[in-house]
This record gives sequence, C-alpha cells and structure tokens, in this order.
Amino acid sequence: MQFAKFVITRIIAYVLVIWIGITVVFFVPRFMPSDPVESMLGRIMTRGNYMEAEQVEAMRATLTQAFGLEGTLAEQYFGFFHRTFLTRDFGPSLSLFPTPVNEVIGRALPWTLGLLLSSTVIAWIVGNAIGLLAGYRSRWLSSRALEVIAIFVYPIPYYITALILIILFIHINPIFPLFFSIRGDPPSLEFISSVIYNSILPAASIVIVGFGWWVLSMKALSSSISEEDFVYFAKLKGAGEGRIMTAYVLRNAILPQVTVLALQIGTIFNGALITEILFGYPGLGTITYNAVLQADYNLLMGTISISIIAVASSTLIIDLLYPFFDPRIRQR
Amino acid sequence: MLRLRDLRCYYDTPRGVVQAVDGVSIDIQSNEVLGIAGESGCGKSTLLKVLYDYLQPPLRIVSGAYEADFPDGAGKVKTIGPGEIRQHWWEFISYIPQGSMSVLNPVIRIENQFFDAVPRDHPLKATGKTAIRERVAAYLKELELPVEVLKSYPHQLSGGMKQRVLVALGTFLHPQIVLADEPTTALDVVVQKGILLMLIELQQQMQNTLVVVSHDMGVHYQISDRLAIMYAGKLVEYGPTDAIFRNPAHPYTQMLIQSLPRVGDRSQRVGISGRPPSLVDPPTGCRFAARCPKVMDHCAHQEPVLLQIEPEHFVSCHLYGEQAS
Repeated sequence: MQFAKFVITRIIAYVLVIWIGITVVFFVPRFMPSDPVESMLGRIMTRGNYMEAEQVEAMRATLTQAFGLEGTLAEQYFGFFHRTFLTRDFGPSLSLFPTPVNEVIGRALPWTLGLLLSSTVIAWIVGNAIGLLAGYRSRWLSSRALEVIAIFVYPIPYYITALILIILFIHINPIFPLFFSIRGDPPSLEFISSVIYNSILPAASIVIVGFGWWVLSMKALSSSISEEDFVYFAKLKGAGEGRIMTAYVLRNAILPQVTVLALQIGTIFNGALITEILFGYPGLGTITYNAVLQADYNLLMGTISISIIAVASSTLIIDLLYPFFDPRIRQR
Repeated sequence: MLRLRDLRCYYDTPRGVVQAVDGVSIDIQSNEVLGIAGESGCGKSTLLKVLYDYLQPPLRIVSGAYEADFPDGAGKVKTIGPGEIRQHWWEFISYIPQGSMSVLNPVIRIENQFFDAVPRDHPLKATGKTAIRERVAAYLKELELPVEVLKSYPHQLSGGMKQRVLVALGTFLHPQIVLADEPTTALDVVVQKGILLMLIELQQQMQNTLVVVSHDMGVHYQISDRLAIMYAGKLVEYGPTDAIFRNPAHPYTQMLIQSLPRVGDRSQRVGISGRPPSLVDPPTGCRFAARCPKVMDHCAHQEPVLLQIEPEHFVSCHLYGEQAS
C-alpha cells in the first residue's frame, strides 16, 4: 500500500515535470521578437524566386500551419500538446524539408541514448568500484595510485580531453576513423562491430571525464561509512573482508550515488552536444546544433520535447528503482 | 578460563603512545559474572577488545601474557593466546556491543547479520542459510523474541529490541565467554532491566562466563559476581561485588559508590572533581593521586601494588599494607 502511494506520487510528479517543460518549450519561441513565418518567407524570397501575392499568402498559410501558429494562443497551446503526445507529429523539418521531424529524431535518438547511457553507466561503475577500494582499502598502494589519477583527470575540461583523444588516436595514430562510417545492416555482426568501433573514442572521452568525480565522491562516502559502528561490528563478527566491503560498505555508500546517477542521466543531452559535434556522431546533439544554425523551429521543438520526456522518464525509472536499494524507503 | 598477567596494551598515535591498559593481572573464572567499572577513557573498552583478541593497529600488546583455556571438543583443554582466540569467535568467545542504534547494518535484513557471525569453519556454515535461519529462529523463540525480527530491517525495531537481538546474536552459538560492552547504555531504565535480566538468565542457563563493562555502578551491583575497578589503564581494586560494595577500599571506588543515589537519601550527591589523567603521559606514582581526597606525600612518586585486604579482595593503594616511605 505504502509502495503504491510512493509510485503514484512519483508518477504525478513525472507528469507535472513534463507538462511544465513542454509549456516552456511552447512559450519561449512565441516570446521571441522575430516571427518564424515571416523570417522563413523572407529567406525564401531572398533566394530570388519570384512569387505571386497569392502564392506568398498560400505559402504563409502553409508555414503557419506547419509551425502550429494557427488560431488563438490557447488553440495553439492545446494543438501543441495534441501533436506532442497524441499524434507525436512535429511537422516537417524545415532544413531537411520535406523529411518529417519525427523521422529525423527517430534516426538520431538511438545513437545518442546508446552512447551516452552506456558511457555514463560505465563511468559510474568504474568510478564507484575504484572509489570503494580507495575508501575502504585506503592503505593499499594501488587504490591510492588510482585515486591520484582520478584527481588529475577530474578537473580537465571535457573538450580538452576529447581533443587530446582526437589528436592522439585519429591524427597521430590513426586507430579510429575521423568520420563516422557504419557498415552493414542493423542486426548483423558487421553492423554491431562497426558501431562499437566508431563509438569507442567518444565513449572513452565521456568515461574519462566522468569517472573521476565518482571515484572522489565514492571514496569520501565509503571511507566515512567504513568508520561506522556497524562496519566495526561486522569485523568483530568475523565477516570476511569481501562481505564487509560489499554488504556493509557498498550497500550503504551506493545510495547517494544512485541519486546522483539519476540526476546525471537527466543532463546527458547537454553533454551530447559537444561530444557529437567533436566526434561527428550522428545523434540528437548534432541535429539540435544544426537546427539552431538553420532556424529549424520544428526540429528544435521536437528535439527539446523529446529530451524533456527522455530525461523525465529516466529519472522516474531510477526513482522507482531506488526502493530496491534502500529498505528504509521501501517500507516507510 | 582467561588469565591476564601484567598485560600492557598500548595505542600508537601521532600524539604519542596511549597506555590504555597498563599492567593488568586478573583471572577470569568460568561460570561467573565479572563486572568492569570505571569512568570514560580508563581502558575498560580497550581491555575488552584485548580479551576479544581484536588487536588491530594502532592497538598492540606491548608486554605481559594473555591466555585462554579452550576446550577442543575432544574433552581436552588447550591453552590458546592472542591470534588463536579470534579463530573461535562467537562459538568460544562472543561480543555484545554498545550502541544498539548503529551497530546493525541499516540496509540488510537481521537474519543476514546473523549469518555473518557464524565462523567460517563452524559445522553450521556448511548446512546452508536455511538451516542457520531455522536454528536462529528456534533460539529467538527460546528467548521469547518475535521470530519476525529476522525478516526485518534494523530501522523497524525499537532500541530495546535491537539490543535484545544483539544479545541473541552474542549467545546463539552458546559461547563459553560473553563480553558485553556497555550493554544497557542509551536505553531507558525499564528496557535496561529487561536486558540485564536476559543476560543473567542466559548466563545461568549456559553456565558460562559473562564479562560486563559498564560505567554504571548500579548495573554492576545488580548483576556482577565479581567487580574490577579500573582507573587510568590500571586495575585499582577487584573482588567479590558484595565485598566491594560493603567495604570499598580504594578511595576511587568509595567515591564511585557514594555517587550512587539511594532510596530515601535526599542529600546532594558528590561527584569526583577533576578528570582522569592523560594516558599518553600518565603521572608517576599512583595515577589517582591528583584527585584523591586521602592523598599522602609518597603517593605521587611511588606506584602502589595490588594487596589482598580480605579473601579474594585486592586493592592497589598506599593506604593499605605496610607503608614504605
């Protein structure tokens, strides 16, 4: 019963977050001083195509409809929700006309999610494992050495790390390709191996930049938990070192780390932008960047809406998983 | 059962060597309840750690001897010492900790915390978790504790229940020696009494040795057969509890007992002024000299020795015995 209540409140919060996010996405472009329809028309006109007044009007009407700018603000608002959630149709992309926005996003989203989710999770696992050893076994030389490496790597800005990797492994030692090239079709082994081959460098850059923080925070957590009475008592009970490290220290230290992971997964789309542009990776970051450059409002609204929904959903999933890590939440 | 001979156990710290247990000699018999009393920082808990053979840096045995009589199961008694005693944790010697609030891991079930206390080479370990669970459940039933606690997490139990669970944990393998470190601290008096009764009943049932460390003289009066008073790492007095309460010999013991409230006595209790000396650089002579109301000239530079003042009752104070001045 308690658990059902917990799930329901989380789901209400989830719906609320998405509603607020989408509302902001709806209003922000409408507060901009420029009219997207007029600027689009202006761009078409300056290309030198001569159009009749009627043609211009027809074009204006088509564009207004494509942008979802018909009717009053309230009608537009409901129309926008209708399109986002029910028909999931954001209209055609303007820069890649006439490809629908859905198709553009649908092609890019799996790449971004695959790269960022896996590299964020790898960084989390590696960082927490090293941090646990460094915190629990602080006298070991190897755990100290790994901690020093983490301290050195952690403050380096992301783009520096990424550029160093590009220079080292693409230009000096051309182990990895400069351009993203995929061979084969989705289910085949060739396809999978070429995806992994092309993704190693961008993934490595995210892992290298990300794991340092996990090492440092996990080290602080696990070394303070190692001082807790229940760990001391576990030693008096004669529990094995491995058992103490996992069931006593890790089980307690991992709780805040799960929370931070949920928050970080929420921000992976920010990271997508720089990573994808630097490595020429065909994900959501690259198309968002291009949409901004080319004033592709439909595509922009689509990518941002998808980001909001994806972020809120991943946070919800972690939130719902959290009780399985901490019995105090499960049975409150 | 347990023999300590002039045992010195020091902590190496950056501030210097802390002489937490300094020349303690005592025999702990089987089937007795021994109380160890003294104020905070006098070495009680360290002595218990040493008895339990939990010697981790910075704590080390500097000199002296510590031996235990270990029945090896074949009817013979072996003498074992530090390093060997820990091989028989929980089946031979067990430990009931202080602080029922935080010694249980908050995120794993109570039953799993029992599994961890079964020694690796104990026959129960081989029988698997279900067998251990049944054994523990049967034992809890014997103690009239609800079996459901095994499936619970620590936060679902009250402070008193947690302490009862810890007592059950300390006794479920029927050890020869049970060490209890402040078992009733931080509990209300009603629960305290319940825990003390439980400890005593178990001791009488199993006819084993119970060593209780407490700063609370009232607790010792209720449960101890013999009482040892520690001050600044030294044993200042020990003997039968009755004898000590009837005829406290050491001025420190006298003051500890005077500080207890009595029914009907409305006078103000007098505390002991001052604080125990630093164990990094303890004073020469009698360590209590600076706070002693009966201090004499030679107390400050001559160390008193343990003297027997009546049967089984020993005290280390210059007020007794021939005065060498």
